[in-house]
Amino acid sequence: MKTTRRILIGALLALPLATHAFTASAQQYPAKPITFIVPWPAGGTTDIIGRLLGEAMSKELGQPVAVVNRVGGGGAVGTKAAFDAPKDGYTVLVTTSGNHVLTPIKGNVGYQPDDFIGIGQISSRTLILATKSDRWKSARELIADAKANPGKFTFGAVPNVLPFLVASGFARAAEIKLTHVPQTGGAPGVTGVLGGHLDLVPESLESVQQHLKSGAMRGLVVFNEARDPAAPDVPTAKELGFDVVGNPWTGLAVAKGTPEPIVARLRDVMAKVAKDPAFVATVERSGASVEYLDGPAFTALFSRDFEKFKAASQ
Amino acid sequence: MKRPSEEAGLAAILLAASLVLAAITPFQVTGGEIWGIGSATLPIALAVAIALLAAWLLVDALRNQRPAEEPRQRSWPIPVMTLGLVAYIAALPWLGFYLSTVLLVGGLARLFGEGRILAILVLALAVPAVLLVFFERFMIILLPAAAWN
Amino acid sequence: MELIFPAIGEVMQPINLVVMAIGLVIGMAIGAIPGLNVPLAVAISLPITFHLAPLAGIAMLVGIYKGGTYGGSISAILINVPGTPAAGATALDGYALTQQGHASKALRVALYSSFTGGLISDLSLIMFAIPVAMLALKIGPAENFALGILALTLIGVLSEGNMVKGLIAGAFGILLSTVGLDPLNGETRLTFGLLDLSGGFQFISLIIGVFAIAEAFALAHATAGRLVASVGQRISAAGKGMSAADWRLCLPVMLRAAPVGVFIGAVPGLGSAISAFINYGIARNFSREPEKFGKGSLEGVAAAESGNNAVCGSTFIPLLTLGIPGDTITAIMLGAFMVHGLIPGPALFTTNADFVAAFFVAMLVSSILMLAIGRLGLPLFVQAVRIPNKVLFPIVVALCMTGVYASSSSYFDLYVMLGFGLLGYGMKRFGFPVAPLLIGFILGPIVEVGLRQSLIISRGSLEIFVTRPIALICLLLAALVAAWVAIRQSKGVKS
Repeated sequence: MKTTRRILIGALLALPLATHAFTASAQQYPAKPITFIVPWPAGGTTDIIGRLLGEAMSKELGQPVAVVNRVGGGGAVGTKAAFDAPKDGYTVLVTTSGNHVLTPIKGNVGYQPDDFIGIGQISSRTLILATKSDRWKSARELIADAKANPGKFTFGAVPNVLPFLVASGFARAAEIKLTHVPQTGGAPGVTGVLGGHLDLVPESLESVQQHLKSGAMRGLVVFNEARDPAAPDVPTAKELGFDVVGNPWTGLAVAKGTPEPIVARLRDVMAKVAKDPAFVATVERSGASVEYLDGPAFTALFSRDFEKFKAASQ
Repeated sequence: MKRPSEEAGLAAILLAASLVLAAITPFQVTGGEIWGIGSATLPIALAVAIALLAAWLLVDALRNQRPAEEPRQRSWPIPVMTLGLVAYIAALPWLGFYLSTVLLVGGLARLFGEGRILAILVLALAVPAVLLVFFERFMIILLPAAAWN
Repeated sequence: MELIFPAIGEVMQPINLVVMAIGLVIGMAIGAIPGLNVPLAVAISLPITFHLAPLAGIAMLVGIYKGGTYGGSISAILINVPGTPAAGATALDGYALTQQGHASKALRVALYSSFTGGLISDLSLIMFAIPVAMLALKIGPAENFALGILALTLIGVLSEGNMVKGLIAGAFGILLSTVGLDPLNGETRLTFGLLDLSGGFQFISLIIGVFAIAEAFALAHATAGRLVASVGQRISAAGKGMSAADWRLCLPVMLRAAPVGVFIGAVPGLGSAISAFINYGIARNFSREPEKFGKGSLEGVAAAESGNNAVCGSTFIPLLTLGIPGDTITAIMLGAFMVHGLIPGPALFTTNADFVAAFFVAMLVSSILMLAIGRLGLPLFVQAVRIPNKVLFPIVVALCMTGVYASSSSYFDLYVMLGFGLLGYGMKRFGFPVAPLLIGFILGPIVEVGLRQSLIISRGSLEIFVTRPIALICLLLAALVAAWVAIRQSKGVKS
């Protein structure tokens, strides 16, 4: 407990420098604790993955990782804070497609997706359009029913998030009219379908999986390039002839301008952690799954998805 | 109901402020309306409701005019403490958590009536140290560092 | 039933009891510290629980959850700092009791009420999970709106004797809740171009501001820098324990608050703060001494604490029976369950009956452990009142500033808290009650979202509120309460 004593002595001598007296340079990076900014609330999916990643990476980096939740503005507050912080690698953004790509599409929030460099993607989720199991048996049935009753059927989603975009994209492609009932989160939409207050909910497969398994809900269509092995009998929108694909992702990023050696170091450490079976098992215990992409591949998603969803949201 | 004139003044300010708010709210929202209800509907309704209630309060206060009972008490501690706290928050990113909080705790102890220099000193040095250790070492939540670090 | 005894044996293993106790202590500490909340505590301890056996991990999470829900009351009563949003309702009367020398009694009422509410909630989870879940599923947007309106009438109840100012405070509370992103379309409103405001006002900044910071302002005004003799507050002898009369007063309140809390906990998306405030309002409505509320009513503390802890067990009802996580904690626990190969849902009770039985036993045991730890800690906590204000309040202000900063790393939230401190001080000085402000703030979004969602679903027709029985009953009840308050108020004015 050498450091603790140092703080106490420092404190008593009224030296405010005790914990912060470090100098940062690429050679000795990291020389002080690193902050992970999570732009979403504590306890949520992104937060949990960020904390697990932070814990595992801090062991490799030899410095504590402090996780901070800076919530608000569809993730804009936290993302902007990460962008504004000194570009020295001591502030890392736990980023998702929502705050990184979709929020800047909506309006000027002071950053663009390309203002960041990806360290790596840690997860990518499958989106599924689900309904109560006593409703439609297939997407075809839904489409036929909805064509006969335009606007009668509802789907619940948070406005402007990826599940909302794929659901409305699907409706547009299938030339049907569904009524959007805005939700305050993903879980309320699922509850609404189970309670019969909503007809459909586009959500991540993980958050409806238990209802699919219990038979309470049925998946009609997934918005993947290929079927998800976790729900092998649910067709993709592409199979049905609708080109609607969208996968929300989560990963780490730092602001552009961070020195190259530091970026490389973070990428190496993250790659090592993400491929560690113990870490993968831990993430799976939290209900998520690891879908790792390396830094360059992850960075490439930023502008690709920005262009893709910009077109979709207009 | 102690100082009717003061109360009437407050009610008048409330009335004016809520009317201004109701007037500017439409310019402070970007969302549209669905079925006649949009982003601005509730805030405007509330501002109008507050305005009506404030008007009631104003009428009430003017009707029950009574002479002010006691002369105005000293009120300097409130602005002083407000400025002190603003200065504290503003100083956090420059002086860092420890030094700013030493000044805050010391200043407040004096304001709240502690006279012994030694007591103020011990309190001012120890409290931020304990908080710093607890949050940074135990919770791993980083507190503001001084600008020169 | 034959599953209960092996389950007791499993839960009673030393390791499970130890991690549960650790969880309770961590929870109480986190709950008592402003800015650090239960979801954060659970999130931070998650990596630890992953290294434990599944039952031990869940036992620890249950401990943190229950300890955290109770812990907020300790700081609320002793130093007017509600460590959690739900403890705001406890602070309304708890701190007044402390100022009157009844800290020890208030802490006891809070502990016993928390225990009672928690226990009733656990028992409801065990015995009535399926019917309660079925009722909770019926709560859709229209019902949420109607329930919210019914709860808002409590603003009237809490404003009696000071109706106009109370209603202003309530309306202002709702108004504050509308700042930020409009939940219905994701667009900003009333943010005045500030990105920091796009997240809206954090409840924690509001509640700590109007309680702790406002109290510090009041203290500054009272002392005005004059040196104060260093005599601490005394724990008056009369304030030591709960008398038989106190029990007669509080027990019915606890028992009435618990079922309401159980119901609120079972409905996804409401939560313990709403339960605490609603029960506080209900208790005032039925009290023989409503005038004491806000000025040191034991009933107020009992209702708030029984109400917020009664949420703890029943939040697991939708989780276990329907696989619906009602809040952040249950969402995290859902992950823990699923890793264990458990699929929450009606089938859980048959396919994994042994694990469910162990979980139920863990819930009960943690309630009892919480009572024991809380009771042991009580003589220690109460020492805080020996610290003179001139020493205590510099610490309180520093703690609040640090805690709120720690919760968001945002300087902006500190200014917001300071602003709400001035608001709270001003409201107190000009005779505006604080409870309606807080109730308005937490209920505003529920009412607005419920109304607008309902209208989208019904395509603009108000019929939805009449054709749905639960919604209709709530709205009629709301009209009844409003009329009753109006009549009582007009009578009061005449006499």
